[in-house]
Amino acid sequence: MNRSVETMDRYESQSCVPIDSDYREEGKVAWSVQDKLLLGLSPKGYLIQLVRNPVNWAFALIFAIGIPITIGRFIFGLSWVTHSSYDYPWGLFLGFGLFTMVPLSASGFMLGTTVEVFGRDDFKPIERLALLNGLLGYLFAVVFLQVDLGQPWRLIYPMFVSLGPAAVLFLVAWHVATYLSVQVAELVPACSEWMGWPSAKKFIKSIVLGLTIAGIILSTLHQGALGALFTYAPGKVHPLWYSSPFQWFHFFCSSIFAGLSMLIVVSTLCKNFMRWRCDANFLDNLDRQTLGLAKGCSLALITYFVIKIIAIAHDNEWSYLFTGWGMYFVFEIVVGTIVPMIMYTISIRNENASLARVAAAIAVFGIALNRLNTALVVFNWKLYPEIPHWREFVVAITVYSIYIVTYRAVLYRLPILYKWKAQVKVAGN
Amino acid sequence: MVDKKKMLHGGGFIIVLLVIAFGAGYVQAIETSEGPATIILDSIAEYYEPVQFDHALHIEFAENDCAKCHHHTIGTPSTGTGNCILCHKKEAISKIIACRGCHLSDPYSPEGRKVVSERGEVFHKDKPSLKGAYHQFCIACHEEVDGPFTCTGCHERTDKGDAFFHSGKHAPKHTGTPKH
Amino acid sequence: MDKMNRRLFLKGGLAGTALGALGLVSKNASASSGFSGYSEGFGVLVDLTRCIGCRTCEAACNKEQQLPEPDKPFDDFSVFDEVHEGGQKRRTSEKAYTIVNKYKVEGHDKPIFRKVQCNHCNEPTCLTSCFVNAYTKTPEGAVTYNSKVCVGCRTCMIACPFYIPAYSYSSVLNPVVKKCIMCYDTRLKFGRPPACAQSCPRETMTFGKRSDLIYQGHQRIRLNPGKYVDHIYGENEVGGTAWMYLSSVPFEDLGFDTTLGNAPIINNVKEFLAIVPMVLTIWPALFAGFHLLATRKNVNNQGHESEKK
Repeated sequence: MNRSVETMDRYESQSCVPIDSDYREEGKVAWSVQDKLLLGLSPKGYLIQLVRNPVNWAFALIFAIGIPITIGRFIFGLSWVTHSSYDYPWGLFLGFGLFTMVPLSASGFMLGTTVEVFGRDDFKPIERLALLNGLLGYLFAVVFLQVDLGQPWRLIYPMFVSLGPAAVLFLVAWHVATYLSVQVAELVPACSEWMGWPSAKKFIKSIVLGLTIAGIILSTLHQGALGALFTYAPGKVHPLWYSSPFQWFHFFCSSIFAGLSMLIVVSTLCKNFMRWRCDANFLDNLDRQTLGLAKGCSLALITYFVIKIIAIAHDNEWSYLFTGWGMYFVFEIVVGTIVPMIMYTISIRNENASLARVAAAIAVFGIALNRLNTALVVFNWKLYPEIPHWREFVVAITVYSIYIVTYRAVLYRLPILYKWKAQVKVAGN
Repeated sequence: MVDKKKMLHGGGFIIVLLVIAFGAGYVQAIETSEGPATIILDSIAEYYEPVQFDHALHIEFAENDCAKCHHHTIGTPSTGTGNCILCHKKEAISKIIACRGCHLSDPYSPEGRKVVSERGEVFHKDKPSLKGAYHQFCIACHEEVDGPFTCTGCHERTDKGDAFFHSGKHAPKHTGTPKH
Repeated sequence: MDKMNRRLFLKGGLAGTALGALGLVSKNASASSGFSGYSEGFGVLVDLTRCIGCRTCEAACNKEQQLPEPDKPFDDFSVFDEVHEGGQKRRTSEKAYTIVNKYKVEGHDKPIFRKVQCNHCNEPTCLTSCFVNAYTKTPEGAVTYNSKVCVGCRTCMIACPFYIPAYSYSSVLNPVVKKCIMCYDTRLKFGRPPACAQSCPRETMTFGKRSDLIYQGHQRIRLNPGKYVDHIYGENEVGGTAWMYLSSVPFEDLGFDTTLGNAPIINNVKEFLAIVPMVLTIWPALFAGFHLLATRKNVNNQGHESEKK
């Protein structure tokens, strides 16, 4: 809250408003690229604003420690930042970076579908935030993947050099790559407005339905495929978290409420800490849209819950519920599924957006818990627990911080939370 | 005794670990009416020094029951070892006493592989090689009677063998296992 | 408006078809079911009743594969008492493609040894899970690995039910998977047995045609009543493996996973792979249809409203 007040103060003291159109002061002088990048502040003013923000100090501290260690991973190898476990080949980078960030980024295709396919234009004010959340989440999932891959410079091998098309990961690689470009395309309109290239926006508009449907296909499949990856390890993932026929659906279905809940969380953060950047269209509609998203979440949650139960029944795994692992499973289901489901339902009944926001935070936590559980905690449940190396935590936190900083930087500038004001250049300038 | 005379050809207990070529040369050092007293194996030694096998001593251990080791080919056939006799009792081949007469010394050489692949019956296919037969038979007994049953208990290792095992003066220089 | 929608519809459909082609490729490539190994493939039958834990096979593997110097000499038997993470016995690593572990089994005075190496599955999960096709099941029976194309995602290590592939994490520029390739390049290709099998003094490992070995294994069980557990581990497990085991004690007592089932692990994944072409082909039409319905409704509403007015 402090920060937004400070930022607002700053703008008021300098008697200027955030850039939201091509021209300053009603079409007289065009904003330069530097103006746009520095939020209309002088370089000095921009720096002062950076330093005055306490959150930046926290990031500075994280980067001071984390960036050298992250660079160290590429100089000294994976063995320097991880335990180099043969039994746990995947650690936090994939367990958190890939398996958690990808479902939390499902918002893009969900809102794309809602607005572009189902024609629900009432969700338009939040659509771009959803698209951006999707794009950045995927982008940084790939960054995490690059940190984790043994030979990151071979990332394009599955595409062009040596193809293993029967593998689930092949599908993930292709679909994430294609979907990333779809998401970039979907955000071109926001960029084109900001940069002043209207033709790009026009072009994207003409293919937006194709893009959106491609997005649905790709998302359905790769969200599911991330789950299906674990069907390669039937003996290693605990039976309660494993289901050969339903694993892909568990991951896909949970990505629906994960993406929507993440969108609620991010929009809440924007509303509270970036108010100066939001326009009335965004702020006034937010409560109603949050409740709309809550409806989607509660439906996905109940579906997810039922399929989870069906999976247990399908493999007759009831007896596992009464073991220690079973208790942990119940904990995950109660906290990550049932509690947010009930809270969402109550919030919808009482039209209480604040409650929906709390539910969203819990649901996001629940998804992270589920993905980390599947990839790390209950993986190798018959062997021994693996606690990642401390440097692995540092690198993961660093990359995630870069993600947040990038996210913030884009929100400050591009017309995501506000509408770009179309202006006509005044003659004579 | 005719049987004992035939033992002149007997191989007996020869323990050779890791020999590359099994074109074994049996040097019959001293001949007695009981068979060779000592058998020295040297031409195939590589990782191990030549073996001096005290045949006479082992005859004593076996209390003169040749069939204990030469299962069905000499003495009174005991049960449980060797199914060959079931079919080959009346054939000349059952009169062969030397281990190497039946057990292939080098089943993995091109010739050896050919022989093995041409064996039709499963009994023949599953017949241990000479090295396998020795080590399966000798060690099993040595374990029972507390005879030596480590490799160097029967044959000393050569320098080449030490290098192979990364032992002795070829032992790893560093101490402790570096944690990756 | 209709014209516009049709155009969009077509574009959506085209995108879907292009992607569909991709999905269908993956389906076809994985459609081989019930592959029980190359008929002429080699294998090794490991008779654990014969193993005395001399570690000669480990030394032979080290020499043949030119692996780095071991931490301890190969005649140092203290390795059998090593306890690794979480009370684990030794496992295959980037420095050792095969290891022997010692087991104390109740009711047996003598310890029982178990040799571990890649089992060279008929339908290897490492192979089916690899998205750059780095693994090959050769007609000779070996599962080989091409380090030149490996990206280092380590899915194969996740997928291997036997915990075999290791990874040279410490290498910065060329970390690769390290695993037994059954001495394919130097021996198996020429019909010769892997170095470990040939080195064994007690012929614990019998090398031969996999089909022959299965027959031989059952023959040994039949001819020695009471000596063996009536099962060849690897004959059917996860679709069958080139390396198979005979044991005198229940396999689970020696750390074998007896819960893997007889179906190749890829069968678990097929349920997902089957939906891929369906999503790719049905979704475009379905959602384009939804779009037409949703937006047509708006048109009607407008019409209705205007009628009202």
